[in-house]
Amino acid sequence: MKKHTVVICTGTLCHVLGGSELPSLGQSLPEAWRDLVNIKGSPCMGYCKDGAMQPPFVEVNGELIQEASVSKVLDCLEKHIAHGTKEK
Amino acid sequence: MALRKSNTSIIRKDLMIRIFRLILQEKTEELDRIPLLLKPRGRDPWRCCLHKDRAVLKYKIMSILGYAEEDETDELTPLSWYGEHARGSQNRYLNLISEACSNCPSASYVVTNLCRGCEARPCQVNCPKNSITFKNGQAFIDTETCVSCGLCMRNCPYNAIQFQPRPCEEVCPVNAISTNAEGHEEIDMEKCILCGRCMQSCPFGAIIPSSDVPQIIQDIKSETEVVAIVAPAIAGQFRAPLEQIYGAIKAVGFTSLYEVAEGAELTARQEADELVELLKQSENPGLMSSCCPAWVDYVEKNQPSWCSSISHTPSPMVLSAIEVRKIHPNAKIAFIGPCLAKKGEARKDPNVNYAMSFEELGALIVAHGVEVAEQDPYSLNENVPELGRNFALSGGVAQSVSTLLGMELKVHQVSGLNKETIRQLKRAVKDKKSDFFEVMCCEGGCVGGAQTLTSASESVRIINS
Repeated sequence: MKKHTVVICTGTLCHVLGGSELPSLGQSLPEAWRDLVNIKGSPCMGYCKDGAMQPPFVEVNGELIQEASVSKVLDCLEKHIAHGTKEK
Repeated sequence: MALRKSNTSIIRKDLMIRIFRLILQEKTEELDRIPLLLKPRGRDPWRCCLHKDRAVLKYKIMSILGYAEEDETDELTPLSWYGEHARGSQNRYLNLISEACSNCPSASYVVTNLCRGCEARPCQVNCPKNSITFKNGQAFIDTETCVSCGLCMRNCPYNAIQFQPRPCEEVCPVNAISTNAEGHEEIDMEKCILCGRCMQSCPFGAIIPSSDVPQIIQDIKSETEVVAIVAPAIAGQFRAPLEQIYGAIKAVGFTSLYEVAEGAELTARQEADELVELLKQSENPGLMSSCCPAWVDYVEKNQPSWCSSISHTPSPMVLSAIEVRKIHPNAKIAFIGPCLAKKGEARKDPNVNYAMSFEELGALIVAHGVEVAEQDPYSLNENVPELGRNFALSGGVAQSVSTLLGMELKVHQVSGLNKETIRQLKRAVKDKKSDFFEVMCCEGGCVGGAQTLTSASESVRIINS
């Protein structure tokens, strides 16, 4: 079974501008989701480069979340799990 | 209560990144554009209108560059001028921007529209001061007689009564903030201990410190030797090993680095020696730690009778700077730590030229486009100063002193100075049952400092992983 993929930007800009707690997302994941979700860290994904979008950045199955927080990511994941969208 | 995650600290850091980047690129003329970039036409305002937002951003930028509102003699002076004449925190550690201050109403209990004017009227029945009357079918609190006991709020079945705090005054442990004649909040710097709580708690981001970084950038550009002395709480500030963080600090141009943990070991040794002497006395008043500048300031300004109990040992920063000065007599020395109060302490120390926070360091690293996780490790010491690294956490100083003495100490530990812990402290001092008072102004110790990049708990999590 393919898992839902969460990619967290671990670049320094995202870390400084509000993303420092995102890599600990796994600890807030509900027990039932643990086997369904794959959490990865990524070096700077480049979304910050032109200054038009708001860090920190997280991707859920390729869907970009701006100004990401643990609760926003969990909310987005819930939608993806409910719709059964899986990694392509 | 400090806001846990909020826009105010992110805006502050974002502004610092933009300012530092422009100074690095020698494009200070573009500083005037920052308020427009952040609040372009058509964007929803945070306050009454975009113009107000832009004015507030301007004063925040001025503050970071070392100028308060009252330093503005001509309102047409552009930000680029302040950028070219950045003067660091030499005059101003912390500015309260009245333009940004929302003039919150004074703390009180208020009846909201949820009040249904019920028959039971538990608010009125339980009020010990008869302060509640009913007007137009709703409860009304007489602020003259109300003693803010909160019984009405706790007894209302509709949660119709709320406590409305004035956040800055609520968190200030020394009552240094009050309203001036114009109705704006004002910090009394004679009382202020630079703990930074007001800055953390103000929902309008009206309180903002000045930064030494613009001057540090200029020194580095002019090839002046700048030595960074880095507080032990740095571990856990970035999601990278300590050696890589040191690599990033080198990469932004500091000539060399020194771990304040080494100075902390000297502090622990000298404090242990002081304690040995003290324990010989039949009734010893206990030794109070001296490493936290906000705490030392608190004692000097609020409890002068305790001054004699404060350890005479200089803080780890001071001892580190003395060591660095021996090797680099002509260098500028910049302290890097989690702390706002260190800006004040640095100013008093002849060896320390600058004090910058982890927030400022993070902003400087981003402004340089340096990725911490991609840096080559830079190792400093063959002998890791473990005892000194303990100083970043509450309990760590007492533990190091106790290890050096090889004995258990009776310790009164304060992890976070607030109105309640101050009461407990006063009792403990009177009781004379403690050998050592370890007081750290911030909750959790320095890792919980006012200007960190990660929360105390996240920082500990990163160190342990």
